[in-house]
Amino acid sequence: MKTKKRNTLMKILPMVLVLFWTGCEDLDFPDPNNPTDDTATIQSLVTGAEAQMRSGFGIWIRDLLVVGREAYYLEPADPRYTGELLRGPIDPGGFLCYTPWAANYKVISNCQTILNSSEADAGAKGFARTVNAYCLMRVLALTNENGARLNYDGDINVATASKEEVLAEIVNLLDAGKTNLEEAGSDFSFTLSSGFDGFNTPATFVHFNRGLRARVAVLQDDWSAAQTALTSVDAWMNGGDHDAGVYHVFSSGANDVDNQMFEDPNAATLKLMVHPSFLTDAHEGDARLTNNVLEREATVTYDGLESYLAPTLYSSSYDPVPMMRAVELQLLQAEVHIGNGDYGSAESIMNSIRTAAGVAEYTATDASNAVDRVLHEKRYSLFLEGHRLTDMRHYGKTGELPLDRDGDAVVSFPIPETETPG
Amino acid sequence: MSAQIVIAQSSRITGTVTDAESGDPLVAAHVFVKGTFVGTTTDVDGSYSLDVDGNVTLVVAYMGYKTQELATSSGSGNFAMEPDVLRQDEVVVTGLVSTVKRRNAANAVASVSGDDLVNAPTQTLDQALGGQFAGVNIRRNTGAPGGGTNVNLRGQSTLTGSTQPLYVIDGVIVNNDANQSGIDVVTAATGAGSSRPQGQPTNRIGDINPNDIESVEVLKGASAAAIYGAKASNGVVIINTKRGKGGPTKFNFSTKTGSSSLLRKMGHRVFDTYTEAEEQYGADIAALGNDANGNWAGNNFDYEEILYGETGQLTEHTLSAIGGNEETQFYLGGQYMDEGGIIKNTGYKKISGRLNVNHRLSEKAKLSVSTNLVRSESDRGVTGNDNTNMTYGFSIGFTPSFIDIRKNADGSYPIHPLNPSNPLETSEYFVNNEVTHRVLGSMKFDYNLFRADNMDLGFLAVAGADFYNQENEVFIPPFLQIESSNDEAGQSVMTTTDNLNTNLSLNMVHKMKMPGMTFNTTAGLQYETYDWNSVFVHATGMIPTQTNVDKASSQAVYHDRKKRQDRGQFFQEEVTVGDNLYVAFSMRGDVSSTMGDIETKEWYPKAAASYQLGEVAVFDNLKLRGAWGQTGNMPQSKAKYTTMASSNIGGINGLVASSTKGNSAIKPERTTELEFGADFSVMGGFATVEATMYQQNIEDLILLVDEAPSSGASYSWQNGGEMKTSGMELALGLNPTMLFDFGGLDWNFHMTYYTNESEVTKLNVDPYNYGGFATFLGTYRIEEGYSPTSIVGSEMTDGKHDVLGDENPDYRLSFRNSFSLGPVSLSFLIDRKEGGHAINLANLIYDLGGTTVDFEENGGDRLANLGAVTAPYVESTSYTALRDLSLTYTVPGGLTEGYGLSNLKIGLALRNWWMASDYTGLSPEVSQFGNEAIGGSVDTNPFPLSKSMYLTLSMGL
Repeated sequence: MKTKKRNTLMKILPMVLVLFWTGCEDLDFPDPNNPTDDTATIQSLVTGAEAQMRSGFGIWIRDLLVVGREAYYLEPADPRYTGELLRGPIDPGGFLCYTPWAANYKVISNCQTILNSSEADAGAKGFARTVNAYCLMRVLALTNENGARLNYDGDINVATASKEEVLAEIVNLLDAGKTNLEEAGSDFSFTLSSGFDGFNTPATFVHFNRGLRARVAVLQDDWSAAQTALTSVDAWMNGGDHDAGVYHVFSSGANDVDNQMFEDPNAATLKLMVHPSFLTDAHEGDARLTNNVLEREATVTYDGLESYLAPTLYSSSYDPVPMMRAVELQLLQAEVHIGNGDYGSAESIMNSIRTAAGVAEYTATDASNAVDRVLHEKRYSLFLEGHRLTDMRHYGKTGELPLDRDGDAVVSFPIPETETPG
Repeated sequence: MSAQIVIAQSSRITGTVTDAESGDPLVAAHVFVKGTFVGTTTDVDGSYSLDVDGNVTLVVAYMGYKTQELATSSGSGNFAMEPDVLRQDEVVVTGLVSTVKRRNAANAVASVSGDDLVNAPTQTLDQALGGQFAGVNIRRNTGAPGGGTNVNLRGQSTLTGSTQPLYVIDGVIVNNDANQSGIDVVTAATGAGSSRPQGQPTNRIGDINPNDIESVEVLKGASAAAIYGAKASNGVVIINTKRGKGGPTKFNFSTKTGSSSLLRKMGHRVFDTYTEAEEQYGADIAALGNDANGNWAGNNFDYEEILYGETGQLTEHTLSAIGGNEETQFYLGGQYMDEGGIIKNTGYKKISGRLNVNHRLSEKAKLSVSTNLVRSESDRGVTGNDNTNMTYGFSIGFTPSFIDIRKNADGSYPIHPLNPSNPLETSEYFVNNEVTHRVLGSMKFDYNLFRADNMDLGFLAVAGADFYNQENEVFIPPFLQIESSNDEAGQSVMTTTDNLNTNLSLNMVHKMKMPGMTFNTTAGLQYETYDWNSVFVHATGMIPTQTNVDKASSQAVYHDRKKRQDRGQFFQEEVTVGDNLYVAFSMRGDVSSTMGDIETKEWYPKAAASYQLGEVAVFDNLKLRGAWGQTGNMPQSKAKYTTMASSNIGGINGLVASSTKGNSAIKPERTTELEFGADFSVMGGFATVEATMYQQNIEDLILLVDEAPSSGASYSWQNGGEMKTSGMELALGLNPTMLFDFGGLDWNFHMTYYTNESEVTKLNVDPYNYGGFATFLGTYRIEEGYSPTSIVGSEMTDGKHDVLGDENPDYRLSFRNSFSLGPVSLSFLIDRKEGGHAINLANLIYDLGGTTVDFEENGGDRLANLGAVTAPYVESTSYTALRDLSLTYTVPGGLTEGYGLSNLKIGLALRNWWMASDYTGLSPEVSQFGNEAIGGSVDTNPFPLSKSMYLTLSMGL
């Protein structure tokens, strides 16, 4: 009996093993984690672009706020925020330079995929061109005179474009996008997040497009183009709500992100602290100071810098962050007036904003003080939105930014190391 | 029936095989007629009987003893076996299912017995390997309980691929994953500066109980490991667990109890005056150092001592039972280990059980089964890199010694005035727990298909499965200071990782003996699968008192899978001519789901030879050997895919291009190695020497190449470089007792020395920096003509980066001394590393906090030059350490007899008891980036090293 049982076992075992062998899975299977690029739809590319605009935003805005002396980022674990950003030079291989650049170009990559897709309708193209232009503006806000890259194929032997070329391309994209949007019918074929509420049809999204057009025209001192664009969005600009506009929204949902600028202003130690000059330069009674900044008892000190001003602009990790608000359009309008020599009109816009903030009105605005005044209003009305550095550069006033320590400087961001040969 | 006729003409030989020293019978010793497969094995009494035909030479082989021969024709043949001190008759692995005697081996195969691994207890197997082998570089990435150990064989073989050797236990490939715990997410270590994993994870090979191990063999280079093909570029560690022996069941119980304490500190700055404090921190902080009267109190709190100064209680109990009869033998091993850490709420626990059974089904069929169940648990605290100032090292760096952050009388902790967290509070409440449950099982089935006098054909099937479930929990209660700036206070991270590895190999083994020659032919098929699945939930805004991830205001969930299917086949021919010449050739073909082209096999050949010259000049025996072979290193399982990543907003699914472009043509890296060596002994075995030189050329290096981010992708996978590594290894054994009489003292000395260096010889892309946090904070340089582990910084000369250091040591040297005198034995292992550098950012952290021990002399200069000068933060990591020491007293038999004990030993054991090093950080072995190939040696204050002492008691029944 025993022997027979063993013989049976001897016969069965190899068969079991062979079955196991042949029953094995194939070596060819798709990536178990992520979809391939051919599965992307226009909706997923549009949403991906919109969502991706917030990726790297935290570092991008810190770069602008710190270099523009609106805030410090006192991060004891990383000396670069107070060293590299306030003294320079910026490391072309470091994350302060690289991360915002890469994040913005990743959005552009989605826009380009949409523009090259046979499934993209006019509305999708209008969205893609507008967002592409917006991201180029964000890149240029850091690199300034160093320009940016306008070929998106990864060929680093092609020369990078100059600042003027990039501005011209932004204009082209916005104008072509406007044409697309005008041909796009009454509704988009895709859904946008609530951050675009009020701007989520082709006819209203074009307002965002024109607002950006005004912003870039002002940077080019092209007052007439700026005026044309602003006139077309008058209802938004003068609709009575300074905060009406286009926003990044945040949530705790899957694969979504937080507003990285929020910290509890009363915590013992904070990283994002407002530059002390924001308090000392403020005009008396300005609610834009008192509403957005907490004067703390405890000072945060690090690396020879100190501040007791905590931002209170955001009250949670999910507060939306503006891309463009009505009050910016009003201030762009004031800049256009100043550019055209119409100081009275500029003054009346500024005064309406100042009155709303509880500050005394300006008088006798003229060529000698107009630019400084509009820069002051932009600084306080667009607090922590990252415009100050660009504005000071535009008017050649970076020399007026306060330097806190010996050896500090106002720096520009280089083109990242991996974008150039060698 | 015909066999009976043969037997009728033959005569019978009977006898016993015993240990020459003790006279104990040796069970299952192999007795056979020289030059044939006619043979038998001894029974539980060590007896055998064998029918032979005419005059023959009988040969007896038994592991650990010298092989003996006896010419006879009939009657009795008793063998008293002598221990094989030179280990020339020990077999070493040459293939998946083949071995050769060490005297014929063509490669330097390092091996140690299990006993040498457990001189003093270790938490993990990989740490027990430290200092034991020439050419094996073991680095403890962190001192945290449960380890995290880098095992490197013969230097650098890859830039992006797996760096760890293949582990094979009882013929089956076992898993050695290192899974992230999620700690790097709560510390934001992977935030701004680096996206690479920084959790200093544990290695799953650590689960294996070193007490279960019979022997470990290491196939260090491609020429030895070629038969393992595309997975073997980092070498192969072959582990055989203890098997049963026939005879009455023998039990062994041992218990070890002891304590661990801090091995090294960084030290700190002492503030002598109020003015000094004020200059550094301003008046508000400096005033905290004053007493009630406003005078400088002169406080000098040693926060390293306070935080790292716990005494860990250590316990290990092991139990084993060995027994069986001629048909069935078993080994049963159990381990319980509970080791407290040197930081509050840290420690390691392991419970392991193993049952190994060998069973002879028939004359032709044998089955051996191994099973192992393990539960391991570690509590690891929060150490290492940080962007939140939560970890202990960062926090201490920002805590000047004059301020008092110790617990208040009411049990609360003071708010740290300079740092976002109070590390003493954190250490009391922070949870970083890892629990792994693991099941390993394997089965080996050996069937003799055909046997003749001079020929033997066998079928060997090996099947194995290795499953583990690892759960990591990280919890920060909402009331901690570190959470006070978050609107959603409190965090809980739950990571669950499951993995199943399966193995199947089907082999044929053919042996043929001809006059003066033997042929050993093996061929087989392998099938291996790997299926890894990990879900990670990060909850924030915890409901007070709750730790479950659903008791929170928000959650982020991540899910990752890795899957691999491999198939291989091999053929190997080994020929021995006389006793002197050994020649081998093999070919292995591999295909894997990770390769871009799954239709074409990658082939890995090998050729090896050795020749024994015997007695030459002063040498008792001299062997020359040479081997050439190739191995591969698999691409990562994701490398061939170009995919899109999820990026959602407002509850709508969005997709963006992945940061890394896949490569549909990716293929394994290929290492070609040429190895030469000479082995000899002199003066009757007084000294044995094994000397080896090798050169490896690595082609098709897999690189994560920078892409212009303006294309939407930052990296792509490419085969695009070459590298070479060369080195030499020397193993020296001395047996002074053979020449000198020390009055009964027995003394063994074993030394290993090795050195190697690597160089990038070809790079198809622009040179680049890799690893670390930024160029000015120290990084690794990948450039033609540079060592791949070169450390560079801001300093440049003529447009080229200055090399500030190199992770790779100049040499490593270790020696073990074993003494015994009567009942007392002493054994210890000294381990020396000369050279090798690390980027010591722990000093930078302390400098930024103004607390470095040398801040006044040098810290200011280091900081002032930060950005332009990196060199002060690159330091030599040379050290000399006492790895283990054991002192044992065997109680004389007369005293134990009455209690039924066969033996009783008491002793003292030390582990990592002493270390001398000029390195100023906590640990010269540090790696913030775990087992990454490039960029590991970055010090951001790991878990400090500890030293352990045990009292041991062992008894046999």
